[in-house]
Amino acid sequence: MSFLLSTFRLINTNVLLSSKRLLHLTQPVGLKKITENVQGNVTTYEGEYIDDNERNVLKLSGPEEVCIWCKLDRRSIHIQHTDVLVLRQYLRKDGTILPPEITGLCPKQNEKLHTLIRQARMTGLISYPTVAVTKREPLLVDPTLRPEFEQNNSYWEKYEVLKKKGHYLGQ
Amino acid sequence: MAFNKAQQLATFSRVWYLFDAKWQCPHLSGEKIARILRGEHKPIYYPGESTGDCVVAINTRHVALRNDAWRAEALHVRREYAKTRYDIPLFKLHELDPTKVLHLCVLNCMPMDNTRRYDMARLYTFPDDAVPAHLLRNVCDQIRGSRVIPKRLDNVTSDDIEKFPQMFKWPKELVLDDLDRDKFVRIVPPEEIPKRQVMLGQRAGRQHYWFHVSTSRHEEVKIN
Repeated sequence: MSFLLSTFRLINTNVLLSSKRLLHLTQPVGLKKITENVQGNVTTYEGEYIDDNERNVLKLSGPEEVCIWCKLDRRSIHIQHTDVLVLRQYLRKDGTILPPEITGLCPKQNEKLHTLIRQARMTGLISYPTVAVTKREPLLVDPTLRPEFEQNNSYWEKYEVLKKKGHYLGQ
Repeated sequence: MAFNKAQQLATFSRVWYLFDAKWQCPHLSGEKIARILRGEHKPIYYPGESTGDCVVAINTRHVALRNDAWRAEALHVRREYAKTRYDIPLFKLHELDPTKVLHLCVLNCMPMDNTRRYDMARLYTFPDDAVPAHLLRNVCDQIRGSRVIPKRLDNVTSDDIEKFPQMFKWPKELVLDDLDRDKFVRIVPPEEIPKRQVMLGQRAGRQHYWFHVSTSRHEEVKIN
């Protein structure tokens, strides 16, 4: 299923070299992939549907409105900041976090996800995003450099314990 | 005939332990190490007698502190000389001496006694893997750490990714690769990065800095 979106002259910036791939994901995470082809002065953008992840989706018993993380809490499975295999499913290739409309998490669990990813970034398990998160404030610091107090190892306590005590969660 | 010599050697000889401090909490490991240095894990222990065992701690540079401690907590140094009070933040202390954090945590777990410094002298700490041969020759057992080493995203294999179940179903019109995101990236040259701020005056009363603040900074005198 390919369709021609527009024909215009494009300055062929080499996207792969200019962006910094700090996250090494071996499997394409997107459902739809956009590829560009340049033939003469005609640029073709193709959108292809690639693999579906439906065969491997975790299905837990319970009503449909309840999000997966709430269901896991009920079964007392607590996700920690070290569970990188879980957290990477909620990240794009630049390192930014997917919105709750796509992930299907309730606001409380979305907060927890953001906190866990922030903590994982601070301990060095996940790299910081390579693009600015908001358009208004561009990325100020080279993400490959880490601040001095993050160059050493650290570990974070359980999210529920920190929240109850009212301690610093890594804002 | 009673064979007591082997039994005697087994009971009274001093055992050397190895401890790998990579990704371990220094407080929790300090409790274990202090217990072994004092000799409380032995049935022949007596408080005044030096019945402790020796411990060689390696990789102390990679010790892991809790939460935000590297940035938020400081070592308060106070000596009995004038103007020698400092608050050294722990990330700076680790730069200057990578073994000091573990050493202080073990010292803290030992009871305040005459034998404290003698027992602490049995602890040998090294920031990395390099240990002198004459110490490594004595080592015969290892102390386990309580924490698990976490996995980085770079080291996760594709097998693990494929076997792991997906947490949610991708919606139909999802595109995860945007082409012109690089427009928003601007790498700031080092001149524009703000310098370290030092508070002066009455508000800065009880702060003890670990970096030197020269007196010329206190007043700016403009000479026309």
